[in-house]
Amino acid sequence: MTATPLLSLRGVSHRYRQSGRDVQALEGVSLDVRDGEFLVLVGASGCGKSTLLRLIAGLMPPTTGEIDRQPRIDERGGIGMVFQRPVLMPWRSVLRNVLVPTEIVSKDDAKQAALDLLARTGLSEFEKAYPHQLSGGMQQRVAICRALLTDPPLLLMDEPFGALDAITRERLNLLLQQIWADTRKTVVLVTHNIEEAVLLADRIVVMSPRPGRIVEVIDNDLPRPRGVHSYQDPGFAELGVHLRSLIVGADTEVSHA
Amino acid sequence: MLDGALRTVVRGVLTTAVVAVGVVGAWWLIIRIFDIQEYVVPPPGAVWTAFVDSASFLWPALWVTLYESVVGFALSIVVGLALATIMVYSPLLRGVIMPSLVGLNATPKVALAPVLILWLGLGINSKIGMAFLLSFFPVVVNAVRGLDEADPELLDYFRLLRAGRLRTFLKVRLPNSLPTMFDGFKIALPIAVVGAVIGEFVASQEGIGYQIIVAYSTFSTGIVFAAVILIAVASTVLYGGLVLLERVLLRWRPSSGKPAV
Repeated sequence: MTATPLLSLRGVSHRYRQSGRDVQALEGVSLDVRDGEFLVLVGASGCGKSTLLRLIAGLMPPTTGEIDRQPRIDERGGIGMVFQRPVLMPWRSVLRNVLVPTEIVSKDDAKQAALDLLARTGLSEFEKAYPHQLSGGMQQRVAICRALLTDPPLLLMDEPFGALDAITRERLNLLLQQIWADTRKTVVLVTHNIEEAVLLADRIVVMSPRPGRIVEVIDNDLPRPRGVHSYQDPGFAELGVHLRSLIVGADTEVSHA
Repeated sequence: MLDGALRTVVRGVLTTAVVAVGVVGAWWLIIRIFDIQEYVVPPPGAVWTAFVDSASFLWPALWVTLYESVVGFALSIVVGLALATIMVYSPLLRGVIMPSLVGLNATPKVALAPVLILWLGLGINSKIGMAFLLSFFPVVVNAVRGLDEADPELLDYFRLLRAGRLRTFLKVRLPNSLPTMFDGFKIALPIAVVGAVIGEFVASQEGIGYQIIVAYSTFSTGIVFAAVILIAVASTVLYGGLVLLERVLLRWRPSSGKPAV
């Protein structure tokens, strides 16, 4: 863990214009993403956490500041990404959706790798189905398989389970933890769900809106593997309350008598 | 899947047959009741006789007109796709091309038919030109719309993969645009047939439009009717072929209950 970080941001700010006004989406963000860690960005909407993820992905440049990436994530296929919606190609079968990245980044035995991933995520029977024939949770699992196919060192997830029902969400949280434990990838996940952050993260980056900035970075030492039993852990509740007070605000509970 | 498609086709054919019988029956009845002269509206039997007697020149005429229509339609697709692609990638050129197209579309293109004949001659080229001119607009407008519709996040994903413009176009924009493009094709194809017939009306030596003009000038109303019905049926068959192609190419689409056509 003492090695050079996989990615590091120094004094990163991002501004964009919206209806004639400058919006400061991010201000002075400095952060290292360590190799192999599960990093969660959490905050209320408008805190710039999705913007931060897009900057990390290289989908846009920061207005000011620097982002250093290790060369291996700068290669084609070096970053996997999962969005809030599955963002699949509706005209392709599940298997061919998963195979998309290897049509751009060559890979040996891509088909076998895709089938293995589908098996691990419980989608073996659906390789020939079209996305619209699957539930939202299953579609999102397909998106995760697609993101993992090139075996990227870095996996970025932008509220990947935000559109799912609570039960499906918890199941996919545990599946993701399992995949992360097996593959030892570096994961950066954006969420506004506090339980999700506590359940999954090694480190939690709490952000505040207007302008988006980092409020606190918290180490999460809860024992792994975490699961349903973790909710009983006093540390789980404690961390959750701490995050809540940072994000929701400590004053809300006394505002109305 | 195929079983269901087959059933839909059979049901469609049956419905069409019933409607056709009804229309012919009503047609026959009205002539009887109002005692209409044969040169004004010939009865179904007379049209059938005219068709059988004129088949030797109506069939070749039909092929000429269909050829002109299909080639004009195909040109619409080629040129329309090319222009749409340019417009999707260059906002500057879109600002130039789109208003020109809207202006061209607002022009009564039928009035251009004599000019086309002046430029392209009396033969089939001027008719292909007419078919193209009439069917082009719905193709290009729907192509632009379809290519524009690509999911921005899917485009982001392809940018992340550094797929490049060409591959992104072929793998995302183009397949994604097909449903909308087909909407345009389905409007354009029958219009292409109309364009070809209009071209033949203005000046020609062959084709269904030419045969209609000739028959009309000799008061052979039976042949006029036979020719009109023939081209209408043929145009419908072409349209049906297009719909079938759409079903095959877009079978991935969720079945939305009732098909529009």
